[in-house]
Amino acid sequence: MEAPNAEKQTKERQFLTVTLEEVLRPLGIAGMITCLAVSFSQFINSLTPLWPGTFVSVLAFLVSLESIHAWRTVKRLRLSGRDKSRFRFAEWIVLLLILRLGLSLREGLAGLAEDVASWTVNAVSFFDALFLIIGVLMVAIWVMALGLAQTMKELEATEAEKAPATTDPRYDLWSTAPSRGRVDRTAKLRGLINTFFGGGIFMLVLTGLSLVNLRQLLSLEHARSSGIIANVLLYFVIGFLLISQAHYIILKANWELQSIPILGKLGKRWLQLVLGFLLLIALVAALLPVDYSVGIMDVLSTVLWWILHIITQIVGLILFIISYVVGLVLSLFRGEQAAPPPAPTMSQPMLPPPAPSTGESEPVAWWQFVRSLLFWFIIIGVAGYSVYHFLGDRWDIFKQLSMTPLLRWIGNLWKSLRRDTRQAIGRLRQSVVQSIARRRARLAQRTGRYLSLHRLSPRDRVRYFYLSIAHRANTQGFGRPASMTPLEYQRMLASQMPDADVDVEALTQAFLEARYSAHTVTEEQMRGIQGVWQRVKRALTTRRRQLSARKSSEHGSPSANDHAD
Amino acid sequence: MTNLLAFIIGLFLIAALLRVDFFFYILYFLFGIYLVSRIWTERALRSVDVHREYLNRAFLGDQVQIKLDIRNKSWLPMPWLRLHESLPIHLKSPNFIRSVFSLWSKEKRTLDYELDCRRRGYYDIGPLTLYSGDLFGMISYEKVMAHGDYLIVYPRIVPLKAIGVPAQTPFGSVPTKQRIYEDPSRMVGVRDYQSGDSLRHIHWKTTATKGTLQVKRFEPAISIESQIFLNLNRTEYTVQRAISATELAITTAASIAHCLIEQRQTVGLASNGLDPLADPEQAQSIILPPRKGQEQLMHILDVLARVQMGEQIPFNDLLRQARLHLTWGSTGIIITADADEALFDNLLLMKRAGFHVILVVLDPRAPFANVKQRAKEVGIAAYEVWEERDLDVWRI
Repeated sequence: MEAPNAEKQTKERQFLTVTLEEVLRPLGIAGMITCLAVSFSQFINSLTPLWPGTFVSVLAFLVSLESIHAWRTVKRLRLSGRDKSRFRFAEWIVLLLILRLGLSLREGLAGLAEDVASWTVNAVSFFDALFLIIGVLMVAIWVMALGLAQTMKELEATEAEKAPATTDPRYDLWSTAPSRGRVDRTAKLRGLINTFFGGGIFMLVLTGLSLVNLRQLLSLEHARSSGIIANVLLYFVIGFLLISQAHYIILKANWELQSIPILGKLGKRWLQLVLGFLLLIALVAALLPVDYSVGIMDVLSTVLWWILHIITQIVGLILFIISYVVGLVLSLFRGEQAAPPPAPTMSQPMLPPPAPSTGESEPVAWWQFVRSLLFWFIIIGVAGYSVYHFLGDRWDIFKQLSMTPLLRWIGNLWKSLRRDTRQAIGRLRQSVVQSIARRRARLAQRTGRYLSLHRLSPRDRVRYFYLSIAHRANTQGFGRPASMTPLEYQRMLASQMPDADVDVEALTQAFLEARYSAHTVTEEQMRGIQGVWQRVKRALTTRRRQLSARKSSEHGSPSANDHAD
Repeated sequence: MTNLLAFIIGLFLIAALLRVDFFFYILYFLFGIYLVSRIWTERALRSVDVHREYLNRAFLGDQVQIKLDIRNKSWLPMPWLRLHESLPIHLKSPNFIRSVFSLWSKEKRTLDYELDCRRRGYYDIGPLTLYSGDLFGMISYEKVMAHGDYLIVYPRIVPLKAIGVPAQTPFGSVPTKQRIYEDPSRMVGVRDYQSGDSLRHIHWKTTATKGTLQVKRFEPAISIESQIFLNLNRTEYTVQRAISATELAITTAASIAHCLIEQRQTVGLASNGLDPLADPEQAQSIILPPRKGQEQLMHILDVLARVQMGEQIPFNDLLRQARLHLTWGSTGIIITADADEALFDNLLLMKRAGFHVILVVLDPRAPFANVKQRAKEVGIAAYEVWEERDLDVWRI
């Protein structure tokens, strides 16, 4: 059962390998280089319309493919020496002829006939400036394509690297120097990636310069450019595909050299995953905003305005509620006849900030503002995250730089400033907390707990009336001791306030009933006792005033005996 | 791909300077590749679960099949997963299993391999290390899965018939002719009452039927309680025979324990070897009190499978310590390299204390005849086991 499956898998792998190496990889490399050529042509076209942009792009594609194909042919046929030189010579002659024909045929057959006539007269005119420039470009493309293809191939495991069998005559040599013939794949991959990124920067700069007005760019007054730039996207997609392939080749080479078996269709799945992954990222990226109607400063100022506006609204609301409540409370003290206080009105809310504009004095719609906000948020997030991790990955370099005397001095100064500021803030915070705590303690001593009588039941209110009298009496020096019963205390109160003895008795009886019996205490009864309570309170107040008046008269006026003396 | 971040920053500056909207799209694209690649692999690797299915006990010479299930429990596929399973060198050569594969979301892959139980011992299986990375070589991760799986390879057991272990402990399972030990749980009949018989043994039913007093008759039986004392002190063996003799000693101990358990006897084990699962800082001997049954046998075999030579506890000290756990009349089976006077003194003390002693030597320095003679003088049986076929003395 296993043999046919293994054979099938081997055939599949071979098919995939051949497809990748012979078809997809050369097409990918040629595609990338063509994208670069397109950007270059666009830039040149922006300077001069005489540049044959389309022809150069097609030529770039063909030359790239030819370069890779020729190299594979030379390898396969094992051409060397004179045969190889002949092969290359013929190849370049054909390429240059195609170039020459292509340039001449731009004007049609008439143009070609004209050019042929001029060559017969002056052979040097065959090599005009455009021909030479594009020729040099072709050489560069040819070299670049070859370099990329060779690098990709060199990433694979070679026979020289694999450990020979122990019976092989090469085994002794290999065992004494196993690193001999080893390829530095990491360096090659790094070179590949650098080429890719270098080409990317080159392409982006050229594309950008071809889209903007250079004069306006210098003064930063250039307008925005929108629209899809297909060659840029294609370049990066193909580039990442190739990098992913390169990474896979390296991994596979390492596994082969370590004799680690590869199970299943790893290569095929790899390709599927890369394609799916790139497609998914491209789709998600397409959903994100790429333009903005409002500049970042306007966005920030508008956001700040809104935050302040919301805060002021909240504060206003809180003040409104407080003032209304205070007004209600004050109205209770004015008595029933007093007119109710006028309802305070909320202060006019702050007008919302003016809508941001695009700078041409045209206000933008709210959804455009939101989109701009989202755009800036994402962009700043992306840039910030990238900078953070970029610096984090290179932190050791910065650490080394910080060892220089000047930077070290600045660093120490910064550290001491930070430390002192933190300490000062800490001390300030502590003192604020302590002063608040002191204030709270003082307030608690003075005011005590606020009790809402309206929330109490009639029974509890009666109890409150009695206990509040005991509390007030305590402040005057004849409070109720814990061992004294209410009836005994009634006698003490009556002795201190003889004028109010009837009320004291009534209050005491009411307290005893509310506290110790199961009788219902109605609202009417409670109101009656409330009147008694108020009279007893007034009696206590009168007593206190009389006592304090007596005291002040005893201290203030001189005695009769003193005067007599 | 470490330059991708630098490129993203550069692209951001270019896009901001040139104000080309599409460049911001490319920026998102590249950043998305970077961010998702970093997050994807780590999360996917965290969700990989590994499970081994195998029998964790085997005998010498067995082939143990291990089935390794690797399952991706997350929704994220794994582009590649390299697996390295470390194995004991004594059971497999080379001592690892390696492979690389990919796992789709929720996919499971099974790897099978075999371990060859060529040597007894306690072996840790694993750890298993998983390596993975993203599609572009930006980041790679490693995860070590240490499950604590192990394999115990038991020592060889030579089937023995009888060891000739005498005991004086009453109420056992081995019938004996010595009438002094009558087991009240083994009633074999009734007889007429004789003066001196215990009234508790009167069989009232038969008495009622017969009309004369009848007492129960019990079959005498003895219980063989044995303790195997196994000497694995390296210093007490000769250098040339240390390894082979100690392995033979372990085989002998395992075979004797197996034989006694088969006879439904009580067996224990005491050894001064090193237990790899015990705390290496504390030197302590291995003592398994005598018990019956298959479970006790497996317990003894587990210990014998993993015990190794030690140097810290002299054998005589072990004897003195371990015999405290024995009941009167038990049998001590001494398996040691050689028997010197100090050992014979110890054995004599044991004999006088009521224990029966059997001596097995595996690496005598003097001719065994001298040892046997000395043992006879002390009154104990002595055997020499130089190689495995010497165990045939107990197969008869």
